[in-house]
Amino acid sequence: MSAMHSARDGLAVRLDAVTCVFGAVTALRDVTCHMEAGTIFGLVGPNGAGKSTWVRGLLGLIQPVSGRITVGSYQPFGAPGTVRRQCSALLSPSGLYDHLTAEEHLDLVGRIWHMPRADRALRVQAVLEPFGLWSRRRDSVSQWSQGMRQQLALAKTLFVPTPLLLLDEPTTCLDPDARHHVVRLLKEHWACYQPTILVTSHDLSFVEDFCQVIGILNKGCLLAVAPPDVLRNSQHHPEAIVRVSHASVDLLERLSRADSVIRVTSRGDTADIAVLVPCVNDVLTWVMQSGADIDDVKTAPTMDESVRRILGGLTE
Amino acid sequence: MMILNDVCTVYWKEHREWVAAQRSTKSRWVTAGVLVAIVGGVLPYQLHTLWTTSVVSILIAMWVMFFRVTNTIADSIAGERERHTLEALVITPLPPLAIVAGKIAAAVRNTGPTMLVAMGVGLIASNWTRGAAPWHVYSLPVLIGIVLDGGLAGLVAGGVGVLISAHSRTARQAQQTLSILSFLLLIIPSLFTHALHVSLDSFLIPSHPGRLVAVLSLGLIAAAAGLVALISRCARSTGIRV
Repeated sequence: MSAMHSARDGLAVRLDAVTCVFGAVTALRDVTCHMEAGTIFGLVGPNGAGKSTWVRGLLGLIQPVSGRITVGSYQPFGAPGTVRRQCSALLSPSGLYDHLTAEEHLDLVGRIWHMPRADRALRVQAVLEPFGLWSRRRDSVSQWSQGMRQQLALAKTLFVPTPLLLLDEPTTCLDPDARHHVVRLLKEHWACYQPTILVTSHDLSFVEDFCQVIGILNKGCLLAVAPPDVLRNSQHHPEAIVRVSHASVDLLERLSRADSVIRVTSRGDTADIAVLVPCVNDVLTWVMQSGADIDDVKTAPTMDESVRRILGGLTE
Repeated sequence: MMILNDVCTVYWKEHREWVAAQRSTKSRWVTAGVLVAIVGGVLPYQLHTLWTTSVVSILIAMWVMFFRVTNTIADSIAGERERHTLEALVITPLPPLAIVAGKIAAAVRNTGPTMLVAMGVGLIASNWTRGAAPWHVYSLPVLIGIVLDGGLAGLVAGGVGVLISAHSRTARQAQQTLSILSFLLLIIPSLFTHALHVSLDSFLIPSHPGRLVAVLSLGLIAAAAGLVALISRCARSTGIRV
């Protein structure tokens, strides 16, 4: 249970010019990144970007062809046992045993970490109850839905608090309610033990909601690393677009002369008014007073749009 | 002592899985039943009293253990790799050697009863062929040989199974390779004695069966030790291939 006491001191993770190659495929390409101890780091990117390779590299399952991975003060491939004694990981697929029950799965984790029997029993209940799985603890998991299996896999990962938590696609197969609940549980876990957490996901709203720092990975290259708001604003145009319909010619002329309006583009009955963001409310008031209809106001790109712009998949 | 704890943990997991799988998979019972019927029924019926006095029964017990343990281990390593559960086990703090040892121990424990039942059925079948003659049991050296050499053969089979499974792409490929190896083990003794122009009977019906049991045991212990060293070296250098 030493991990439980040291979990409050998350482990710093460092990748220095790491390159991982599988045959003809370069899964990670000269990646350099430093994850501060105790941070929640999200890794996003399309399929095949290298997210899972990153996680497997930290666990010592993959040896980089060049560069250095450091977890705490150890290199995972050189001392996998030492690193694995300080981290819990949820991999994708989650690797549950079909014939075992939920209780047996968690009991196994407790045995692996040498927890005394009484502590294991208490911890099983403490972990399963928040996930709503306690009443199903004696069911073989082969009878469970994919969402329930995913929640059990997460419960297994949180069973022993460790200084480093690696979560590969934790929200896969979860419905919106379950996803929301899982985010809350993960936040509570982090608030309690403050481990370093690395999350990979395609679920950008989850990553934005949960992570303190986000890295964007594509074709093995790390394109950006920043907090979610910085990342979003980095792609943010300093203008808002107000779409109006049934606007009079007089209104459009008045708006185009205003200092706060950047441009007015008319298309038939509708017009897009590009406005400096701090002046949006003034423009909205003028439009409403003139009797025109406001169809849409777009102030900032979503995280999804920002990430897609960085990945080059969305162009203006 | 920590590593023994870890071996017991893996053993516990394997055994729980095996017990649950037995409840839900009838085909496993069928395989064991066929093996018991052939080994415990047909062979003793043909060998009569030789079944209880010669070392044939020891060799058969060893072969049953080899055949069953290698099949179980193939599923336990290569099968788990296919199901992505091996990776989940390897990334825990468990040492790779403890994972391998726990799996082998569980395979020997879970297949041992099949061998013992087959030998028990064999004893009954052997006596049945003798009609009204008084019952006879295994001679002490043979009985010791069945239990000791059968168990040791299981451990050796486990080691061989781990090495082959770790280098096979699928569980099916590992099982096929190991099955071929098992059947070669059936043929090799007769080829060996034929090549040396020695009567197979003189080997199977030794004047001092105890000595042969001791030689077999020492040979199996040496083989098991060699495999442990080999697996240990592989585990240290590359871990378990996932």
